[in-house]
Amino acid sequence: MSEAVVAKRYADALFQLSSEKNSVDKLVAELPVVKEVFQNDKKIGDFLNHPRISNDEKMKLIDEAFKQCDRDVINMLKILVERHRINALSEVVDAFIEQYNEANGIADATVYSVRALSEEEQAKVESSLKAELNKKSVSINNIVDPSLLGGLRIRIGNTIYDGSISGKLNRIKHQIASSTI
Amino acid sequence: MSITAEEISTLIKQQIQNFDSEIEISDVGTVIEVGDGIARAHGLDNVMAGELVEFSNGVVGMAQNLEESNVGIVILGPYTEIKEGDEVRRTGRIMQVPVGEELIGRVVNPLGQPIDGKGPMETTKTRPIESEAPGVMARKSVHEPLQTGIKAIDALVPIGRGQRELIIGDRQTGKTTVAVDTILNQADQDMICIYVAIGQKESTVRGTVETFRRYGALDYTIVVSAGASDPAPLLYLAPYAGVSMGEEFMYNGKHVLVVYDDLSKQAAAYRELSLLLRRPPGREAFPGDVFYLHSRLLERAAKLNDDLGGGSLTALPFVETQAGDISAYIPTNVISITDGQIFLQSDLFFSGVRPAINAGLSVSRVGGDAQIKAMKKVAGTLRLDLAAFRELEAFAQFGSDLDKATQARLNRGQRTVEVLKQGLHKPLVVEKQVMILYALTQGLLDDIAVDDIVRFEEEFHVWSETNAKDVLDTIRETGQLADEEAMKNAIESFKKTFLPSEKNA
Repeated sequence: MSEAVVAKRYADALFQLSSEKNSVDKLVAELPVVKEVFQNDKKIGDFLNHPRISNDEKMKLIDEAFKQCDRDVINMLKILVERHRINALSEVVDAFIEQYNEANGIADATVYSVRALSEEEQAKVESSLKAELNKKSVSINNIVDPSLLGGLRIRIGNTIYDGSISGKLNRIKHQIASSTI
Repeated sequence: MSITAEEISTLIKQQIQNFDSEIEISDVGTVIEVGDGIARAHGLDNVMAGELVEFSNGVVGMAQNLEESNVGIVILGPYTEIKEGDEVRRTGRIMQVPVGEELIGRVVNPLGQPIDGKGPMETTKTRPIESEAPGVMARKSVHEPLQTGIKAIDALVPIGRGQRELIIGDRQTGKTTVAVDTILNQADQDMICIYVAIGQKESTVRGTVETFRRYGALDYTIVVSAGASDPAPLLYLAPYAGVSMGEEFMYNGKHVLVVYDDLSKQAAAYRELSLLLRRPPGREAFPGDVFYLHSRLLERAAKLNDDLGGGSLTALPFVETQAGDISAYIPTNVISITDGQIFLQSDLFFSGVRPAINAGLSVSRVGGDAQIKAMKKVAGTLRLDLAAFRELEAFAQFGSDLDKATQARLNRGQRTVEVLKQGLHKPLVVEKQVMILYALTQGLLDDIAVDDIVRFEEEFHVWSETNAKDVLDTIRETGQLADEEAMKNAIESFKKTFLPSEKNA
């Protein structure tokens, strides 16, 4: 089975467990930190995957390193290690966050614009996106891209809303090139 | 058509004025892997199976495998410029080809783009390349003959309009020749022919097109070519492109003949594609749906009912066998899909029987209804005679003491084989076929030497054009045999003028 499928199952279970315990918000804050630790320090992954190191030692390390974390996070890490799935951790975290966003009506939007947007403009974009997508909150990440020439290009998940001048010019070009006279 | 620069600029001005300036919403994905003409992309959330997607450099691809976390895409064009991390965009369209009268006389690739250097085509219509085959009620039983102009086929394995007849044989047994001659014979038959060349050498295709042009067959023929150097997806798509072009004519009440030369190469291309897409391989490493690959293609051949215009689409698929092995995977599949097969054999070919049709193994499951009455009468016993002759021939090699009846049967058999021989690119009209077969079955050729039969036939056809025109006309116009006396008279009177070769005299 592919990592993505596996990750979804673990994330699903963790999400259910944490919503029963009302600890979802805590986990959402903690899990990205755990993911970052694993990404920044490859050695920890190597250690946890090493066949010559006993499970007891691995468990001890997890207990030590993540002792500030929620009990459920530690337990999940242990289960992943025990089942040799620790490599899927970053996918599990991503799937968990995705599920959290879905449940709470949160969307991440990347907004490309020619110059940095002012607070006021960002709020405007946010409110119109909220209405358009039917979400409770939209977090905006503004990226400056002068090649747009003007207008905005917004990316949410795998969908692009292209209202930029360069995009429009491109479409005119396509239309003229492909139209039959 | 001539357009001045001014007109063009007004047109562009209009387009700019009316340009819809709404925000464009598109679904995108990211290439995570690319190679061997296949790309995998992450994202592309709502993509449809078979939908066209566009890479950031303008190359299009077709979404094939829709998986949990990624989409397998076959790339229809140069794939060397596509990199990992590139953006892939949905287009919302499925693959289509241009169709219509404008294609006739042209050589196009499976995307419908001209490759014959005769400039762009002004087509206005397109059709999706995958479409549903006509249903049960849309069809009518096959009842009109498709005259191939080849005696051995028209007499022994007749093909009807709307039928699917497989042409199967080893390499170099004259499969393509059968198709080319059949297309050449459609000149006055109100037919549109589509020749789909799959994985053939460009030089071979060029030669075939040249033959069409020389005999004037290009006026009613479309050639779809996916050459040996084209990527596998194009080879896989070529037959579907061809049949879509044909369907347009069929639904307009016309008669169409589509030749797929050949489907074993298409199956091999599809195997390549499927393995690269990591679909599980099955028998002979073909994917599980290789049967469906051919059945959905050939099912689109049909004879439509009169409400739908009565058009027809006849399919002549080719399959190449290895050393006469018709029990391999692809041949058995296609044999079971089609309404009969014409089996070409290399040992017959090399012993001089050309076209090298094996009458025993060739059948046509619906063609009997699609023969004109006259042909049915003269050809009725031909198959049995031939089978009996083949049996006796093997037997007679052991001894020379044969009774008269056996000797007579052997003589008739040898003449039958001779009569069924036919030269390259010399299709024969049906009335002439009926005349010579009549002469044969009535025993009127029994006193002509075997070596003279071919020459006799040739001269007889020339002679009858002027001297027995009324007989030929009746057969052609009524479809029935002419007055027996008149036919016999015509043959007898030609025999009197025929000079046997010296060594036989």
